[in-house]
Amino acid sequence: MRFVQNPQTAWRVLEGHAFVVPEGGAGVVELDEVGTFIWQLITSECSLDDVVEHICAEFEVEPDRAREDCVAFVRDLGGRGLLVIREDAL
Amino acid sequence: MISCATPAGAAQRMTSTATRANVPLAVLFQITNRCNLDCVHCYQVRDQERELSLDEIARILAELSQAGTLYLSLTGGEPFVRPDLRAIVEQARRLRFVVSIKTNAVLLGEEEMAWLSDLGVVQVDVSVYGPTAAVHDRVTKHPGSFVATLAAIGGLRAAGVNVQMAIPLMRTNIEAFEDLLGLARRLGCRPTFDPQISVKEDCNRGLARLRSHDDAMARFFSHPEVIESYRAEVEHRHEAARTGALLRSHPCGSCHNFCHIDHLGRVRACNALPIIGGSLRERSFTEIWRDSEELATVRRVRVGDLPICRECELITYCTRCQGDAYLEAGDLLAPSPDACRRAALLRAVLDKGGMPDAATLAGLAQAPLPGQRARTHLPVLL
Repeated sequence: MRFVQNPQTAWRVLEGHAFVVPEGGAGVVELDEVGTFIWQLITSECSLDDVVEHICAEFEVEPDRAREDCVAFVRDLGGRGLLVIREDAL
Repeated sequence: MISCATPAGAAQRMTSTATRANVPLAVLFQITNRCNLDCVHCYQVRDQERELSLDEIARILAELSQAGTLYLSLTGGEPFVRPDLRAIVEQARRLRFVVSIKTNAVLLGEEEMAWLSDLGVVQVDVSVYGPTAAVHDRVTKHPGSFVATLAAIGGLRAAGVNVQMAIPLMRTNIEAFEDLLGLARRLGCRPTFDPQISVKEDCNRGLARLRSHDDAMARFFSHPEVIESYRAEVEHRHEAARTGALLRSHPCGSCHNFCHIDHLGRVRACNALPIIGGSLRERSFTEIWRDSEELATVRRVRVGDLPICRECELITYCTRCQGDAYLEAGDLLAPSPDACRRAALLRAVLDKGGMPDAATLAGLAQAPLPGQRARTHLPVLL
């Protein structure tokens, strides 16, 4: 799985939290500290392995747990139209 | 471990975070003051000064992005008189702003409609002044403008662009507001009515003659959809007054999470409040936003600092604008006389649950309003 920010989104980070406006401008999604860290990583396309590696280097978390949470997070953002996801990519 | 907040809660938190941290979340950027129309109610003063170049605008956009600005509204004059508007919007979208544009739409062709859609401009605010060419073109002083504006709205909607119809209510069109409401709905636009007509930014008060008569304004407030939207706001303000939060609050977001940049690159408190913090041709946005004593003066004001308004029984009905107070009464802390009049009318409508009788309106016309006790010298423009 590889993914990247949907380039049609707009966003800023305020006091450590990213606020992301979906394409079309309706509503705002707020990301927590880890979510913001991931969001800022994926300005260019990343693999799940890339992101998990960065999370484990930055936060105290086991790789399996990081991967599990990251997949759920990516699916959530993808469902909101905030990411472009390529499931088949290596 | 990783969470997304709900959109509704997030918007509120974003605004309160920006206000607390003094981040200019929303900026109204006047990229030109040239205009293809000559509307009777326009508060702007035209000049022949050298407007910002594309390079200057690109630099300012980068500075705004760094400062945390997310919502960017491009305005004029008429933005589409600039041949480089598309390049400005492209740059803004590259910097991941939420971009909207305020326009009369007369100059829009198919090419513009296509790129507005392609670039993800979230909203185009189109000014409409009447439900017919006779009423609208009398305001713009340009025959044919109504037809051109409506054609553009249709084209924008067909291109999938979200259009908001911005309708300032004045003596010439307020009686037709239901027709305007119908027109907006037929065209698939959200209408926004503004009953406030501001005086010229050079303090010339001639535009006050365009303001609606009391009975027409009361009829507008009495419309079932209008009265409900105002009732909700007034109830919210009643509650804030009861807890004391209203007096502790700031009159508006100006200089807290919002500012205006004019066509010469000057950072202003608001388009309606010409207090200037500094020039972006001389200093960076962050320096001006952070260090300007002029902007800090606006930032310090709380509702409880307004010596007449804080004691006023109309305060929870009032939509006072600091710009109007400053330009019309000559004092940032004064009442805005026209807001006093509208507040008295709104209270009468809400008390009655509809249109007040003629005797009530006549009584309001005779009663001295709080704003009439305010100082009336002209302000010194900073």
